[in-house]
Amino acid sequence: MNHTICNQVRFEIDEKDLTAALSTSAMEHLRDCSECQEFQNKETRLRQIVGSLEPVNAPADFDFRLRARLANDRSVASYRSMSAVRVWRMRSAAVAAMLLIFAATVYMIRQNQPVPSTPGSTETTTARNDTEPAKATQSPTAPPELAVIPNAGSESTAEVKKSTQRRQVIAATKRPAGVWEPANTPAPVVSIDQTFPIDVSQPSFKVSLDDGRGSSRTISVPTVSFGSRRVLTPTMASNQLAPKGDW
Amino acid sequence: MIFKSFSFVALIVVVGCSSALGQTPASPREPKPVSPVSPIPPVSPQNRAATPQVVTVLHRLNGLKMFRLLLHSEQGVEGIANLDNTFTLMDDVHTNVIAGLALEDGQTIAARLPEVDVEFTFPVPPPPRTPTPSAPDPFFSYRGSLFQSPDLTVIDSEGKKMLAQFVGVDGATGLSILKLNGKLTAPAQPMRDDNAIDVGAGVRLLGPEQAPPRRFSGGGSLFVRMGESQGTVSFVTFAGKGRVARFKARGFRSLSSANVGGVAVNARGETLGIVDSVEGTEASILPASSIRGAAKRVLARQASVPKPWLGVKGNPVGFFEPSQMQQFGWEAARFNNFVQHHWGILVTSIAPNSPAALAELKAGDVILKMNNEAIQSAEVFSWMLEEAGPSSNVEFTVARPENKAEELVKVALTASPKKTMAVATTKLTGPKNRWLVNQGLEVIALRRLVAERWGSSSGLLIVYVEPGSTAFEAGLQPGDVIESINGNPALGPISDVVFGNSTTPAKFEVVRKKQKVVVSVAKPAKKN
Repeated sequence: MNHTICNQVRFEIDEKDLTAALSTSAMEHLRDCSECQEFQNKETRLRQIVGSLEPVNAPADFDFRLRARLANDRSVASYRSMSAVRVWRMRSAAVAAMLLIFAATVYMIRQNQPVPSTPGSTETTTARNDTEPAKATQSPTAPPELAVIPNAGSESTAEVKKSTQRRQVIAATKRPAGVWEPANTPAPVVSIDQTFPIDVSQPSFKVSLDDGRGSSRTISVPTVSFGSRRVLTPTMASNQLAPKGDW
Repeated sequence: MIFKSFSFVALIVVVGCSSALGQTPASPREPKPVSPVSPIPPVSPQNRAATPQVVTVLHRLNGLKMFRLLLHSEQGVEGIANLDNTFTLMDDVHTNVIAGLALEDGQTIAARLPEVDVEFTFPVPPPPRTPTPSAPDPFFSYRGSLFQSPDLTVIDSEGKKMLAQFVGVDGATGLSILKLNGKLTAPAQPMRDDNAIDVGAGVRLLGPEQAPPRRFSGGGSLFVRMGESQGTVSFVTFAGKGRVARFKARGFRSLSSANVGGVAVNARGETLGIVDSVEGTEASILPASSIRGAAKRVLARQASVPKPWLGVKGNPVGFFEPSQMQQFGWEAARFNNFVQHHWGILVTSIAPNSPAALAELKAGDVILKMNNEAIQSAEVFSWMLEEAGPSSNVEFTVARPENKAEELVKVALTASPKKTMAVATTKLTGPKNRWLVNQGLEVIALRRLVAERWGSSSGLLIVYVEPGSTAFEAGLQPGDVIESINGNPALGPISDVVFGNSTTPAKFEVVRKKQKVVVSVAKPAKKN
């Protein structure tokens, strides 16, 4: 059995009118193919049954309902396509947000790193005393004046008063930690990107000094210095006006 | 395809974020350290409260002032052998950038300028300004007289630049007080009351620092931003009546003497104080009340206020071992018992002719109280003297090694005789320059090559003339080069021989702006 011929004959049976005659080749094939004969009989019977039915009148609002149904179907299809776009947008937004978070994280990490130092500047931290907060607070160092204070009791009024004062000082050092709630601060937030240019076009101070014994040396002072460190006498106490232990 | 690419990028981003963020927080499994002072989590930049009261102060110094600094430094300068060709005497050659604190009025600035003492000495009567020549030589050209107000510029938090007038320096605290020629863009945050300073509270330490250069910035500019470091209050030193004398903070990521002068604020951006000194990992901070006091003293006087002077050196009794006390006349056993029950300052030396010497205080005395208030520490003693001010009478309760009973000693404090340049008093009172110092002059020798730029063969460059001195009255000016005095070449050492027993004025042959001038200077009155 040639399926191709069967298909062609069945297609012809489907397409022809109930009363129209089939082609010669189709008739010849039908004579030899029982399956196609059965298909033709079923098809003919079905058509006769359908043809014998009374015509049915459509309801009055059929057209309106049909159009409404079509319109509704179109809207659903449109919504489905919109939803796909939305999902796509949301995914893109999520990717963008993650990219932003990543960039902000990198920026914050870089901001926390110290700025490269310049001679005589604040960042020239020669004695860098990096201390982890937790480590630093685990062993708080009491000033010597407190370290030597004994807790010996005394009986006189003066001693009691002194003892009270002493307790006040020590208690003061043990007051509970203040609440650190930056999120609740009503003050405006500072921008970390505020930088200001300053003019440093002036020549630096460079001078050759004579020590009176024939030898000379050159001193150069940076154009800019940061903080309260003296440029020519860095070893001098920063609070030269109120040195400790000298009243 | 595109979606797959984005998914891949997203995956990389997620992995990157988690690895980057994973560096900062501690693992939740790790137990948190338990300490009396809990570490404060750092405030993220997004949550930092604005601090419009913290400003940047630029203090510019010209060549002449740098010469003066050099003379007073520990560099051992005898003379200047050479200078750059680009150097001009009165042009700016150095700029110090430091934090300043705007007080509540928005116009008064307190700052710890490190080189402020080059501008003046105590007292500071502003002398009349001399008119500048119409066509000045570039080498001498300058914006005004040396005695003009220091060259100070203030930049507020919004980048607004304003000139500031120098009012004076408070000797007790070392704070310079400036007045703005304008208003801050944003109102200054209020200063926090000292009694709100608690151990464990967060401290943000602010100070200007160099910012990374901008890609398209032109040459000759340097970018500055307000840097910040975060720590916690570690100790509060109380003075009498619950007032805070000083407080300390620690836990900063980095701390050095360059942080002195930085402004300490709390989480809300309110001012806590100004860093007074740095010892190891701890910053000692001058509280808001002391800053207010310094501003009040200077503004009331409209000039610098000297540090009140007692004339003693010493340390709290707790610093000493009983064995060390024998040299001061104390028996070890008695001192051991004494130190168990007393606070106070042990006097180790007395300056001659000082208020302490006049009140017959002696080395070995322990000052227990001032005006009946216990002296609990060196900081408290400094604070008490600071509060009393110069020219005030105070009463000390003193314990003496030879007497078991406490004694009352009345002392009349005076203004500190020290010039602001502490080093100067030793360097400049040496035999070579003593006469000129007494004359009110500070000079530095110029070698031939350099002196030629002044139009002189050699001589002594005047870097400072003390207002009110005979040299000042005679009209000698900074920038003049003294070639000779009474015909004797001024090549270096100068002594009282110049005047001898004569009472007639000395003749100074001076080169001023390449013109030779003779100035008669009266013999200075003898100083004690």
